[in-house]
Amino acid sequence: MGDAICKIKIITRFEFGQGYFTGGEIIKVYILDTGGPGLDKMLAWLSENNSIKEVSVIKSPDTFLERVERERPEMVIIRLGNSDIPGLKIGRMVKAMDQEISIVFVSDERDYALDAYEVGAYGYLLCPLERNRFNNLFNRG
Amino acid sequence: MIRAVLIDDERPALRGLEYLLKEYSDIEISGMFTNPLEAIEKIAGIKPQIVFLDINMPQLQGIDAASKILDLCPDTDIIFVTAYDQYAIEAFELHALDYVLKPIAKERFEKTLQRLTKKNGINQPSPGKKLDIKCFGRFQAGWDGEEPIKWRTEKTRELFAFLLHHQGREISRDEILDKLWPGIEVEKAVHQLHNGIYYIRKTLEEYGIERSLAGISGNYCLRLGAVVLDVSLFREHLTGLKNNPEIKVLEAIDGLYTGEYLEGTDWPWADLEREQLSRHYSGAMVSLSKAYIEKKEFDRAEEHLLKAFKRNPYEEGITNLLLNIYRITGDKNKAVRHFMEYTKILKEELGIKPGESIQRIYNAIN
Repeated sequence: MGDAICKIKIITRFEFGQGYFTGGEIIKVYILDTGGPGLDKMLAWLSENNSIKEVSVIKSPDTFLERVERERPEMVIIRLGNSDIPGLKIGRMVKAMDQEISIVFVSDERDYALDAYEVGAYGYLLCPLERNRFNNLFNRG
Repeated sequence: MIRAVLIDDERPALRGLEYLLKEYSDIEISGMFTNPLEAIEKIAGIKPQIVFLDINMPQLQGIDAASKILDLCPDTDIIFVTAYDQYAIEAFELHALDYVLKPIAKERFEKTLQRLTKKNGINQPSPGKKLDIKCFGRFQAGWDGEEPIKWRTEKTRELFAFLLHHQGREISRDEILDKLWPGIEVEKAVHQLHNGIYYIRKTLEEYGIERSLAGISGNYCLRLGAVVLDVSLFREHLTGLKNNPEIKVLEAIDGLYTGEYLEGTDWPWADLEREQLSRHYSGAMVSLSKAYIEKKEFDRAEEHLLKAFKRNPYEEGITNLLLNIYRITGDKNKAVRHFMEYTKILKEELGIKPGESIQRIYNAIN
């Protein structure tokens, strides 16, 4: 009995920044990061989330852009403060590509949050990462 | 109609915001408060879709006020408008829709309003004007009656033309790299490709061209909506001719061909198409002239052939028909002049003599 109920996906409307998706939907999350602080935590927390079907970590900005362009994940997580990754610019390019993709920035500085809003990001995570704040991305606050 | 509530402890700021919002007819200001506590009291009764909120307020800080408002009205969106830039992170945690600095820059605010109207399902009104794309003659795109779009770089322009060239079809990344960045190291070229696509999208956005009108989807496919594309029309007319070579359609084809395909560009990938379209044009003009000849409208026939000859002097069919007209009308002088010109061009540019059939007609006239 308990099992059967757990398997029923309850459809509730979550707002996802500038896009909507119904909870229970399977989503793809692509991460642009070369291995910064908190990446392993994010991967662990993402794997605990049943609605997430695929997580890809991509190191090269151009490969990232290509894959996002082709595969249109529902969410992308972009590292800021890494000299190999022009994070805000990549964010803008993703936004120009598809307004429905939720963009989350990860940074160990507060400084870019204002820019993140200008880009139209959905979330901004400050390191060290906190589980609650991270999971909050998948709910409406 | 979007109901908005404005909250700022400084009255001038409230008035400034009210003034800015005036020009958006979809937004109705349902309440203005200098005291956030009062606003919170009244908010449930108003149930606004959006609350514009200051951060630094003596009675209650904006972040806390937002929290309380969201408790009371969970579906309301918050937009922070503040002189302080350091609360953006907290704003993100509250899922605030936007965070804008004072003094408010118009362009930045327009972004805010775009997010707002999009979220509330209010579509930007259709401009009611046509998007015109011309590939014959000088390549340009733009709203009908307005200045053509200015592309960021020549490469961006070429990329757009290339996507247009393959319009509706998916092109592989490698094909684009090969045609537009030949001989350039792949990594570098890919980088430039991504930038190019981005700049095209940004430019289209700047000119208010919605994705449904012209948008690049994954796999680099340019999809066009209700756009006037001269090459498309041209091809449609050609197809229509197969069964029924109507003068009307042929005249339309003539009207569309205001120059060679992507004239004046040195893009090698366009060469084949340019040639083909040029031949189709010549063929159509020959058909048109024949139709006029049948109606004994020799002037019209001559006019179109001369025009076609200017564009394609080597096409034998054109000179052939032209000379035939002069034979029928008995216009020896014109025949001689044209034959001389044709011969000269063939000699100077191709190093050949006129073909037998042309020679024969000419001899018949003289």
